[in-house]
Amino acid sequence: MRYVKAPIVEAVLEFRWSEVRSLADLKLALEDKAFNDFGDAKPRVTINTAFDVGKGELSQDRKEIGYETSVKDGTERVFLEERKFVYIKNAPYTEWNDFRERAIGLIHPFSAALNLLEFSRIGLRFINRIDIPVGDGGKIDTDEYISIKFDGPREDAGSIDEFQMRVVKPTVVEGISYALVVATSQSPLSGHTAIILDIDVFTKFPVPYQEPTFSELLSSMREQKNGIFESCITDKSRELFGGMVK
Amino acid sequence: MNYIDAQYVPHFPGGDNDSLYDYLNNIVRGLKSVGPLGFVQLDNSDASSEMSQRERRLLEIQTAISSVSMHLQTGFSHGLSRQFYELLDEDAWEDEDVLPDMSSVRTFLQVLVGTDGNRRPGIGTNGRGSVTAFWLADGNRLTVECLPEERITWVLTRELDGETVRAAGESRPARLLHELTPYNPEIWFD
Repeated sequence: MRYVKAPIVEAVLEFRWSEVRSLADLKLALEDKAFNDFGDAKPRVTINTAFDVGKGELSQDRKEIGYETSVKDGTERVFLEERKFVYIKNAPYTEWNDFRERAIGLIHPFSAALNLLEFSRIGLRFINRIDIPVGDGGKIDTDEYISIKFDGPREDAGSIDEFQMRVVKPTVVEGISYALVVATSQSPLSGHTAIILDIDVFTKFPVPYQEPTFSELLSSMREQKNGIFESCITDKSRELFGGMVK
Repeated sequence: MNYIDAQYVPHFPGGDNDSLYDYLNNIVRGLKSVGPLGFVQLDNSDASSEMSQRERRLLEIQTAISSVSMHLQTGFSHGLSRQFYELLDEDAWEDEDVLPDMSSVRTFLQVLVGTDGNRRPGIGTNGRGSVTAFWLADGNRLTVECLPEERITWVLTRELDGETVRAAGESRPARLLHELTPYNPEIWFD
């Protein structure tokens, strides 16, 4: 079951592990033929700028933490860092099996190259953007599109200029939690506004990288993610997604 | 009821800069960022990837295309992204030319969403930041120059009833299809 105009902007599978892997090992792992479609690896860095109050001096610390690589059309990206592997599929999203098989096709040789036998955390994250047409009045009623409500502490003008919320909760499945971000946003479409639903379902326990445990876990995480999404939206949102693919 | 007043809605990336994955992670990290004792942390340690301006702009353009891909015909966005890849290829791009600016790219995407065509246009730039889209069908040509802030200029040559008609105008993406109606624009889009 999937929508004709799925609102998924980014679908992400993130794998973390405990022991640091060297940049050289990360780069070597990228040479596997599974990454043949990807371009040259670019360094991923963090830059910290701080002011030393005692000395009155500015300092800047640049640290290389890994690599990024992407396919020619930019729809797939991989981030490799000392303790994590991230596969990002940008829209258009097709279907779960394509996404899952592609991600596993990359993490499998990568894990073998780095001798990763266990993941400390697996995250399945889908970032959705619901584009909503704005009528002549220039306003939309969020209650018509999402089930998450904001009731302010006082009577006021009744409109929202900005809304951002992040909540982290355990799911009903033991050891699997989720972070949900809901935010208002600009839409790239003229005459529209948008609501972001960022759903990150993740494990709270170490996961051995072995079958069938691994595949069963991913399926379970996907079920949770879909359930959260469907419970966040209304039929009026579903109408915007153009119905289901037959 | 909770109303969103669209005129106040803040910009949220759906096209520019890093992936939403990075953007949202960095917001959360920024909320937790504190400097060590005796230091004032002036900039948090956002993770980002190092690339040239040209590479970064290509990625921004491809991300912008991706962000509207669900509103385009199937397969359209992959082809468009590859066209921009070729346009901004290291060997093909003239360093003295101004890279396409993102506001013009967004205008270009509005044109594509508004015309909802099955045929991808050829693309180019004028070296000053705008994006040019052109469609050619049986000698009939439509060229749309996409400028910042949802402004466009268009010019066409069209064979109608045995005569060659030339026309031009300035408009906005949402009005383009309406303005082209007298010239049977389906020849370019269907």
